[in-house]
Amino acid sequence: MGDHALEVNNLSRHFGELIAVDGVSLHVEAGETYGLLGPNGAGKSTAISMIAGLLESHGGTIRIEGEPMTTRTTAVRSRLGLVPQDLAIYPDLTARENLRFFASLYGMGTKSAKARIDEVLEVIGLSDRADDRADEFSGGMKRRLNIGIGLLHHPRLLILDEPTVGVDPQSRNAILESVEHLASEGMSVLYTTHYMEEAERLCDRIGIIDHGRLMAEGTRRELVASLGNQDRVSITATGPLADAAEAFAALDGVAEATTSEDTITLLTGDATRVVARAVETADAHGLTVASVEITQPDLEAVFLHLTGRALRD
Amino acid sequence: MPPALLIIGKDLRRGIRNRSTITLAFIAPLALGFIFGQILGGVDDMDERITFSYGVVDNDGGDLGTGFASVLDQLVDDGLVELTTYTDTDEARAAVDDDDVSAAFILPEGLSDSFATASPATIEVIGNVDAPIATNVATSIAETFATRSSTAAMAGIAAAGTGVIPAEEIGTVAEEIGSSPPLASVTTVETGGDQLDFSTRMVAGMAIFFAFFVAGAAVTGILEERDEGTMARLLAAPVSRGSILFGKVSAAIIIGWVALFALMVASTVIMGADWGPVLGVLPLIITGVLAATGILALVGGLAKNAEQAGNLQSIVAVSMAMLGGAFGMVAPDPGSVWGMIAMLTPVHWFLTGLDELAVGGIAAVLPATLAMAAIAVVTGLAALTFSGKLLRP
Repeated sequence: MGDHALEVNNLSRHFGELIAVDGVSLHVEAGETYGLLGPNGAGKSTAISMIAGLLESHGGTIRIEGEPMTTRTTAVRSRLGLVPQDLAIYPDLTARENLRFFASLYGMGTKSAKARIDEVLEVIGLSDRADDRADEFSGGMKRRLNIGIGLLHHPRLLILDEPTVGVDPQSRNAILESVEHLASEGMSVLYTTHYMEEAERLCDRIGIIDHGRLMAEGTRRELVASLGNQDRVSITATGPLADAAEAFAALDGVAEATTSEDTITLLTGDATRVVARAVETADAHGLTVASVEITQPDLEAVFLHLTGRALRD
Repeated sequence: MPPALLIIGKDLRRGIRNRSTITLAFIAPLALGFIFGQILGGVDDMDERITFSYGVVDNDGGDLGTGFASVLDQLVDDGLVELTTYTDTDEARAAVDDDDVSAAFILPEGLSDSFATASPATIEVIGNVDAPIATNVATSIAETFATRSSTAAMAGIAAAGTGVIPAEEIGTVAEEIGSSPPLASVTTVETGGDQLDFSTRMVAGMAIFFAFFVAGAAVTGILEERDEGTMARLLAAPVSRGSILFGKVSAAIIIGWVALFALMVASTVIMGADWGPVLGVLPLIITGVLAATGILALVGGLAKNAEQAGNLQSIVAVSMAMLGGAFGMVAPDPGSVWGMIAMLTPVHWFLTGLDELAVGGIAAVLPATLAMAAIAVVTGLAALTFSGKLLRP
């Protein structure tokens, strides 16, 4: 148990009638980057708030390196670095003053803090703007400072809650590179995002969360494999789609056929074998095909398979 | 360094950089106190009295005309009236039209005879339309004289009717009564000997009023940390929630203390204000800010964000300042409901404490100090019930 940077068991939280987090269990190994992937409103930030000790849980336990974490524990917090989703910096203080204040709050001595602040400024690329007020920074620079404060005190576990939301592509890439750099140095990272490509790029393991429940977790390979290596064939057409659904499902090599308003989605082991017969079937049932799309399985497909909706729905 | 001190240091640094804090804490109260003191303080200055210029025409020539003239002479002696005597009504009217005088009294022929027989008679006042106040004052003088004279005549008639005096002496008796000094009179007594001077009171009132806004930062500062997202960081740090609360509230209190003390010094040096002995003022400043902080923490705890808290606190601060007499207003009667409510405000006790200090020495501030300390404790403890609601991301 003590080997895990983070261990969460059966974590729950509700707001009135709304169940925001429903029995989530997960763990982050030391030196591992764990991604919590889910759409907006899935319960990621609520889970993070409880893990960081900001919000009281209504059930379950949280342990950081074996030590319990609640809203009342303080000592264990020094092992944790938090980068909240919203900017959390003092706009009327300089970058250096922001870093110095939080370094002091985490009990860093003046000398070691000064050296570490210079180091962090270098990592986040703000060395040349260290003595400028934060309210003079661009959005991307503020985001980088936001991250810098979180990793200032050498946390054993860094929690980043959607750190690239609202960031331009260049700054986004810089942030992702920073996270990769920290991970390569052995820092344990819990990273929440609703961007599939970020989870695929950064995370050793990924947990898929929706409606407060952890639907699945594993490496990217494991998650995709759970689909049975299925390709996805999406046929957009007009006509009686629902009537034809049964015929599509009965096609040889099709594992599953689902229909939505104007699309039939077929899951199959080999899309190239199925696509021609699928178009014939559509024609036979009086459908007018507008387009056919073949998608190789990815996390998006996993999410769709698990929840019946797209990540960005 | 303890986390609470770090938070205090950070907030003081931000407060110094924040122009609105400087404005609220120092510039606004000093400037407004000075301006109000100058504008309203003039009312107290009686060196330059208002003088009315009147004319009089005595067509009567009898005892009553002489009596009226003696009334006007008294007003002339008091410096309230400048009097010019005219020979006839036309001359007096022309003087009024030419703005030589503001109004003229015309005593009609036979006034004294009609008085003696209790017959109707009219004293005419010719007024200048451009001098309505002077005309009103002249009318009041004439009415007062006429009323008193009529009363005297009625007394003479009553005396004759009951056989106390013969009927032919009615006029003599009435004239004696009319010219005798009144049994009772109203005298305006100027206060001020047992209070602060007006200018100091205005600055002190403004200082404690604006201290409310500075002290309000105890709660708005916490709500701003939430709005800025930094509360999440503070809560995630290895710091107890009590330290965060103590640090935030202490910073606001310290700024309030420094602001009030600086205002006391600045108004003394710049405006010549006299707050009284520093050792007496200090307990009032300390407990005044604490009481204001407690009240605004309680009010601010009801708000959802910094803006809402600021609005609520402004309403409370203005209401308390008005009730407590911070704007130079007359304090409500202590026996009335409003008077009792006023006694729940630190503004009232702060100014009362300074008044007492002006006449009673340092020990005299004890009741006001204790009252404000009690307000601080009660409201502060009540506000603590909101701390859980405030200290969240």
